Amino acid sequence: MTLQGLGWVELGKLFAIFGGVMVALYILRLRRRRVAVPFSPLWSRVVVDKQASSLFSALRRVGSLLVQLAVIALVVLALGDPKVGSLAGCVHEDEKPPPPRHALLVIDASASMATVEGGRTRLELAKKKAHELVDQLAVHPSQRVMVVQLDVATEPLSLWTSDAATLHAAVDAVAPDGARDTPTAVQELMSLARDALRDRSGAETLLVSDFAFDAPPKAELEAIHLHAFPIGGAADNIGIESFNVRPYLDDRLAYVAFYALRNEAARPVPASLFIYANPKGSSEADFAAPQRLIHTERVVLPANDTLRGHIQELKFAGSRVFARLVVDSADPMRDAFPRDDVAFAVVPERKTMNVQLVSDGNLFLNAALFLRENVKLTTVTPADYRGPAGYDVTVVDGAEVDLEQPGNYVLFAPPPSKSLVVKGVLSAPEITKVDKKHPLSRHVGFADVNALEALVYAPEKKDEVVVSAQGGVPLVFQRTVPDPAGARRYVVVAFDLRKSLFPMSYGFPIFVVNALSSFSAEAEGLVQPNRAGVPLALEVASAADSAGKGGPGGEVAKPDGASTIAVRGPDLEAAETVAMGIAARRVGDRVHVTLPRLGIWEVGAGPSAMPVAVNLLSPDESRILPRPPEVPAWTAPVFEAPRENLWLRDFWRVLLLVALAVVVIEWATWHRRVTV
Amino acid sequence: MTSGGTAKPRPSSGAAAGDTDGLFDDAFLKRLEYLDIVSKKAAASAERGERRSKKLGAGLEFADHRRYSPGDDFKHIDWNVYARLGKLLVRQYEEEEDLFIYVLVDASASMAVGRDAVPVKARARGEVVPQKDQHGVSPARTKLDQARRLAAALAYIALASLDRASLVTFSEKLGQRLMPARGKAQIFRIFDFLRNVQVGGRTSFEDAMRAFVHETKRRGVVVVLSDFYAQDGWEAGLNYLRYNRFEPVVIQLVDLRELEPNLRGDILLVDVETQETKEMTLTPKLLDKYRAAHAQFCGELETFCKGSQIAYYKTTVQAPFDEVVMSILRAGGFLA
Repeated sequence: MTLQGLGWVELGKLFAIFGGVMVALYILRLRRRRVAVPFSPLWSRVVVDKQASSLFSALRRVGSLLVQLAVIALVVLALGDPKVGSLAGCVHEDEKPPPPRHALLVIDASASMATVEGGRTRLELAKKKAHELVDQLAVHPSQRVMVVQLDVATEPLSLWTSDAATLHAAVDAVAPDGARDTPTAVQELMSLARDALRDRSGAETLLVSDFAFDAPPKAELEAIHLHAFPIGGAADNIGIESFNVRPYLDDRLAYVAFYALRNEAARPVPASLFIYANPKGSSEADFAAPQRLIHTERVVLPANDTLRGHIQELKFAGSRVFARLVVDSADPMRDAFPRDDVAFAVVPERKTMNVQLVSDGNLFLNAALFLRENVKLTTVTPADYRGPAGYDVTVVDGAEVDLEQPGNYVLFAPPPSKSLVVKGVLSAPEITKVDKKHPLSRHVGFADVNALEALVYAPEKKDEVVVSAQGGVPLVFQRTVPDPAGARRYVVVAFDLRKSLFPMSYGFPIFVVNALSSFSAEAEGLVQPNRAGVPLALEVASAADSAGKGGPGGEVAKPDGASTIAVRGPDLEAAETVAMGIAARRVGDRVHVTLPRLGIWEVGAGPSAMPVAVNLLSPDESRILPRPPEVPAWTAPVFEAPRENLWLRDFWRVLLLVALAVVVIEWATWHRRVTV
Repeated sequence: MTSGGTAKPRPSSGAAAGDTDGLFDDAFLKRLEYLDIVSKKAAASAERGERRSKKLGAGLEFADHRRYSPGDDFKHIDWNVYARLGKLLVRQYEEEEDLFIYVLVDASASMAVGRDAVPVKARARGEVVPQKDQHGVSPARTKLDQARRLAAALAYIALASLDRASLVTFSEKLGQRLMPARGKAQIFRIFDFLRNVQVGGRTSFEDAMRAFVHETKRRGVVVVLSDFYAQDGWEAGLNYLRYNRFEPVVIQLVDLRELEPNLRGDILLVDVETQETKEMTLTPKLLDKYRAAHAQFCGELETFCKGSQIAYYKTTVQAPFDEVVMSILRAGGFLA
């Protein structure tokens, strides 16, 4: 007989404890009650016969104690869950456990698992398959399983266990709200599997996934003993592979949208790309309303290919844009994976530039400055000039004014000054060199300048010469003069506009815009979109700089020098994101955060919160056709429970029944005064 | 049997005034008067000395012949017999004298056992044990109570019959004694005496009866009220009375509650008289045996009394005392 419950030592201790208590109670019971009787000789007559059997009485009394001790022994032995070899002709077969096994059961919860097939998502099908695997695996304590959720990271949801209920609960806990908006972190899985299965017997990795990703090399898969359980089949899908919006370089009021649209179907698919804008929008529901639609681009997506293009002249208020790709209703194709049909973008907020023109009157210049719509122009005469304070840029048309105050200047043939020393005059300058990569020369040609003369300024080392004439005389250059009171930045044109044909050329207004834009912080105007579930390191102004540069509020400093910043997600308040464990943390000049959902998030609080667009934008996830690797087929553990008698398998039941029977008999005989 | 011209004291509330334990209350006294009336129907003499003693002497009623012995009065020789048979026989006559009735009350510790007990079976059956009988008499709580009531009743009847009644308590030795008195007026003394009976000690019939015989010159009827729980037996004591020309009347008192003890399991029995202890484990079977042993004990006493021509009555504590007295009167041998 073997014990599968408590050991012999523990059983012995239990029996000693309870047996001791029983003996003590029995001794206490032997203290007899005193009863006064009028004539004891009568009782003596009665017990004459009993005296003869006093030995039997003593034995019976001791027997009562032994019965109680036997009951205790039976109950204690039942706690040991004994297994007997044979009893009463019934044969108990020792079980033959299957070889030990450590199975890492991985369930893919990445974005592609949201693909709907047959009315159910791939994730639901995967979890169903995982439940079936658990039922096949958790048949014996030697078969130990760990459930892991796989998306942009790996998350173990259970320990190594063979308890079926625990494993089923872990499977149910995989992405309970549906598939994540994140790509599949295959390398994370490989790393986890290697670590979790190291030095474990019967190690294997069971991956339940749609395999909408490129599998690692075969050798790596063999290292983790991968067995594939593909979910899903062929299905048509179109999606936005890439999307972004940026303002025009020369027109901050207009935007251009770039897109790349993928078609996984085997035939061309007509579709429409709807562009929405909402200054306060954060989720799909905030944008997808007819009144917020700003553009519709009709496209025909080539079969199994990607269509790239751009949309020009988008104009909208605010800085948040949303795109949705929709198959034309007349087309029979059904998009099985709608999660990749949407994309969000954030563009820089437009700022109005405050420009001061110091001139006695120059219609060319006035016209060029008005070309830029977000320019607020103020024109003053040199006599009324009070300095650059309060203006983003000061344009001086040959006037002799004070140029030593901090500020941004665009100067046309400025007279000699402390910062701009004139060495002479160059007649009929001929342009010999143009730096075409400089922002000032973008889209501008200088061939037809034809200036009569140009001032020759003494060059400095850090000058950025854009256009130069014979002898290296700079005609157009950019100079920055550092000063403790504030830097002075100059864009200098060395000739008088009235003595050249430059204002007449088509490039002149562009040059003016370039000159103004060179002082603007939004020169690039492109905010990169981010991917869901990927750790982000955002360059966000610190709280200390908030007042001056519009950094996000809601920043709480921590004792370790870092600080946390409140995060608001699409349809999520800050408190909800905290509850979900989403928090931005500033380390140095970067804010680190991982945003799990598609939409436009806000890092920080208040009006200065920084919007962050989060998209799927994963070509792998959009390719929903399963691409399972070639790995060995999996075999379920074979374990046949030995045919055995229920009572012999759980012999403790027999022991408890015997104990109960003894107690009943003892109770009955005691009440009938047989055993007393 | 009447009280003649003497004043007829009524045992009334005056007697009950000093009754604090309810033993001799008004109801009890009314039952005594009833017994007085009934007892007069049992005996029909109205004169003094109306009871004939067994003493042979100078009476008028012929009793027997005996052989002549030198010294006998010649006038008692029956000459007719001598003429017929040629033998000298002397006539003997019953001598009429006052009858002395001694009531011996057992005051040993066993007589007071079970003061607060209630019969188990009666309680098990859900019956409410009556506090008083149909005549308003409180039930006796112990054998001693019943003995005192019976003693009082018998003494009252004796006094009403102009006999002399005397009460004596005993246990292992003779106890208190109320000297013989005559007349109903003495009943109050008897009540007082019975109320003040001291209980205790063990029962020893031989010693007590021997002492009684030695201290009592006038022979008479000796009513022994006891449970006869004597460690040394009761035969010797009763025989001693008989051998000394007393007429013992045995009234055995039994408490039914003793036969149905509310006991189960392991107990330690303690004899109230000897303080002897005995460990026992009571079972229903054992209780049956005990009841059988008690019945055997009573049977032995009855057999002995009948064999010794001793009037024997057995009564219980729970029986109404007046019915007990009436059964004694009807059985005869006490007043007849």
